[in-house]
Amino acid sequence: MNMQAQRQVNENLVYWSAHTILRQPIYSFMGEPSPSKAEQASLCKQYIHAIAFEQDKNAYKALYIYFAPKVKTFFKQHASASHAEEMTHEVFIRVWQKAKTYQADKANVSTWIFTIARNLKIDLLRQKRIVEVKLEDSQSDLHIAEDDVHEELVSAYDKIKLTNNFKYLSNEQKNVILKVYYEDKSHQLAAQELGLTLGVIKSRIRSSLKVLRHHLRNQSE
Amino acid sequence: MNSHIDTELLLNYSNGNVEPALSLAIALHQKQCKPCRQKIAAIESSYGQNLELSEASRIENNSFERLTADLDKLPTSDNGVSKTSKSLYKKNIDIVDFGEDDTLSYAIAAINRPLFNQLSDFNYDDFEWQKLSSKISSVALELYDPSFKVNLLRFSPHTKIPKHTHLGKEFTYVIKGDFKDHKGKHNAGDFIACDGSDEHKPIVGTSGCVCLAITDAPLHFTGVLGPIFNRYASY
Repeated sequence: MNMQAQRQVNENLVYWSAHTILRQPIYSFMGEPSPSKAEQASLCKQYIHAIAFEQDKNAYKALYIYFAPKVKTFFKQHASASHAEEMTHEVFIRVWQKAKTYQADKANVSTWIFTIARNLKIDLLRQKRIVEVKLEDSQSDLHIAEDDVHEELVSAYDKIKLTNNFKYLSNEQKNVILKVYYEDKSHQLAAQELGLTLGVIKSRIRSSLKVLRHHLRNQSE
Repeated sequence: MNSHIDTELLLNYSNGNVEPALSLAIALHQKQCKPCRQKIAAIESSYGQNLELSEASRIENNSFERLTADLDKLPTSDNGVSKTSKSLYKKNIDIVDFGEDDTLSYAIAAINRPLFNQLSDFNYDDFEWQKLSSKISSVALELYDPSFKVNLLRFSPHTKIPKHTHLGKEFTYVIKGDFKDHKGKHNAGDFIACDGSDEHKPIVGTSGCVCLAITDAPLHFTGVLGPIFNRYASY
C-alpha cells in the first residue's frame, strides 16, 4: 500500500474508532445517514488490515461487536447457546490470527468470516461423527472383517455372487445378515427383533462375514 | 466432457452441510474447474451477506475481555499465524494450519486436509493398493463417514467394466486418466454423479484411470435385492 492510501486508511480508522461500533445495516439507524453497503464493506476491509498490520484492538473490537452476535446466531443452528458462544470465541481468535491471510480483492470480510465459521462448524460436526464411529468400533472388533466384505459388496456385479453364497450360511447367520445389511437395521434393533443379545448378533455377523469372505475369495481366484 | 456439479449440491457444500466424503470430492473438483469455483465463490459471498443481515444473538458479558485475554496468551510468531491456541475445541480437534491458503479454504474438515492434498497432488506410491483383479486395484480410504464408502480405484488401460446400474448414489471424481460411458468421456478433474437410473458399462482410456469412488454404504441394497434374499431367507 502506498503512503497516501495508508494515510487514508489511518484517517478513516481515527474517524471510525471514534464511533467504536460499526454501524448496523440500514434499518438500525433510522434518521441517521447510513453508510452504504459498499462503504460498510470497505470499512470492514480496513479494519482487517489494521488488525493484520498494526494489531489494532480497536478495529478488532469494532468487528467483534458488529459480527460476533451474528456469528453466534449461525452456530446456534447447530449447537447449544453456550457452545455457540465458544465457537464464536474461536472464530474471532482465528480472525485475529489469520487477518494477514485475508485477501481483500478476493472476498468481502463477511464472506471471509462466514467461511471461518463454516469450517469450524464442519470440524465440530465432524468431530462428533468421529466420536460416534469410534464408539461404535470400540464396541466390537469386527469392523475390519466388515470392511473387507463391504469392499466386495460395493461392486454391483459381485452382488449376485454374494447372494449365491448365502447357502453357506446357517439360518441363524442368514437372518442376522439380512436384518443388518439388507433391511438396514442397527445391530441393536436386529437384536431386539430376533430376541438375541447384542453380543450374539455381533458374533454371528462376524462369523457370517468370515464364511462369505472365504467363499468369495475362493471364487475370485 | 464437462460435468459440473448441480447448484443445490454446491449450496449445501458451501454451507458445510455435505458429508465429509462428498465434500472432499467437490473440493477436489472445484480446484480443477473454474466455473464451479466461481459459483462457489458467489454462493459463499451471498452466505456472507446473509450472515451480516442475520439476527443478533446476545453475547455474554465480558466475552470480549475474555477474548483479548486469550489473544495475549497466543504464541506470537512472525507471520502472525500460530499453530496452537487455547480453546474448548482445539483440545479435541487436530487443527491443521492452512497457512496462506486459508482465505480460499475449502469446505472440508481440517482433519481431511492431508488426504485432500495427497489426492490433489496424486502419487501412486502414497497408497497401498489391493489387487481386486488383474486390471483393477483399490484402496479403501477411512474418512469416518458412515454414510459413504470411499475407495480409490485404479484401472489398467482399456479395462471394460461390466454393465451395471447403481442401486444407490455413486459419486466419482476422476483423479488421473479417463474413461468413457453412455454420458460421454470423463477426464481427470471431472465429477460424476450417478444413481439408479444410470446403467452403464464404462471403458477406461488408453492411459488407464484412477478414480475416487464414493458409494452409499451397502444399506441401500434394501428392497432392490429384496426378492432374491427373500428366496434365500426362506430356505
